[in-house]
Amino acid sequence: MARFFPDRGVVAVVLLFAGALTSALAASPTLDKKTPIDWKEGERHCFKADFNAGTITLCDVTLTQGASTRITADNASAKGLSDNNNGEWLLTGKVHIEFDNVILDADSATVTFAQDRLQKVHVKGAPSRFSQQLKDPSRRNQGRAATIDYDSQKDVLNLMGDTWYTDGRNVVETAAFTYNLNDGSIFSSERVKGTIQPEKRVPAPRTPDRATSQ
Amino acid sequence: MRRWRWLLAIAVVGLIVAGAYFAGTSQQARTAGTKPNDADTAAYDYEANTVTVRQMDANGQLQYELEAQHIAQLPQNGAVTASMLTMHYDPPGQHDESRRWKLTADSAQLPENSDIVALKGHVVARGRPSKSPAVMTFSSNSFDYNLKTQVLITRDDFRADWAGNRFSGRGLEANIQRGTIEKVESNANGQILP
Repeated sequence: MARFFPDRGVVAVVLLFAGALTSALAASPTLDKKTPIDWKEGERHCFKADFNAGTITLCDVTLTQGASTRITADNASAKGLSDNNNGEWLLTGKVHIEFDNVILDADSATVTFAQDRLQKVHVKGAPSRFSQQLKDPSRRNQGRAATIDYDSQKDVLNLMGDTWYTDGRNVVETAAFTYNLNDGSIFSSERVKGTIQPEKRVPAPRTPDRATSQ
Repeated sequence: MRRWRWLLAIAVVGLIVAGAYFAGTSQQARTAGTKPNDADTAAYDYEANTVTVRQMDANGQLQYELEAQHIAQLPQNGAVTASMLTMHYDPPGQHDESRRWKLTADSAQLPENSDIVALKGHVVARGRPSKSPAVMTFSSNSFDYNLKTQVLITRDDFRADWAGNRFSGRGLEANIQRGTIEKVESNANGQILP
């Protein structure tokens, strides 16, 4: 049976869905400081570089770092490329970002690599979407918003603007929320509209009594 | 007796001339293997081994310095060829050695009335763009280098290294004066090294 909470006047709501707390659900993120960041152009070529300004421009780009991070976009430009600073990448057109079992799809994005790993991501779209594959392959948390920010220090996604979220069973709509990538929980300080579907309880198996066990 | 002394003197002079002639022709035979083009074996307008050439600008400042194991000017088209070339280039108006560009190649050819040097074999251009904190290096099997515009062009595979970034691809147009890559024809890819 579903419960529906129309516009609950809640100032601060912590939404911790059943099962979300089991942090084992979310695949643990990896810190990759030894693998180079690779990029390549696809079929369209527009590569330009300015080494005085520390900028490059690319078309049809794929950025990868190891097996866990992969970014594709129609167009990309990077600035601030120098030692120990891997640059801020502005991506536009069919932006697709994968890292640590998280997928972001958007119209545009700003991606910051620093200290040889992905540090920040800001995506915009109408809407932009995220999903996170949990360790249980049948479970995937997903949401959408006007903008999504990834903060690697806190390991969270901040979704703002007409957000929508589901863990496959429960649904939440609110102006903004924060999604914790470690335990799959969400937090919102905005008014929340949501549908919470209680977990179906499987009846415990009956213990056979002595009379019928033979 | 006096007549004999004259004859002896003429014989000695003749021997010296003949010796000089044979020495000259054998030297030419030894250097024939290093000539860049067999069609040009007839003669060079000039040739020299282990050469250093310094080109100064109007203010008397060093513009470029060229070192080569062998350099020659071909008579047919006036092209200058060089082998095992090293060229140091000072950006115009700038005489900071840390920003001096250095080009090395197995061979180079500069056609007469042209500003474009055709560099071939292990070509490396290394220097620091004017506002860049880091040195950059272009390498390829061949480059056409425009002495006036400082544009490097290759149709071969290339690699460029700069500030922990590695770029590679096929077909490059770069301006080392401006510190820019203007075009890569195909297979542009790169790596940001940890």
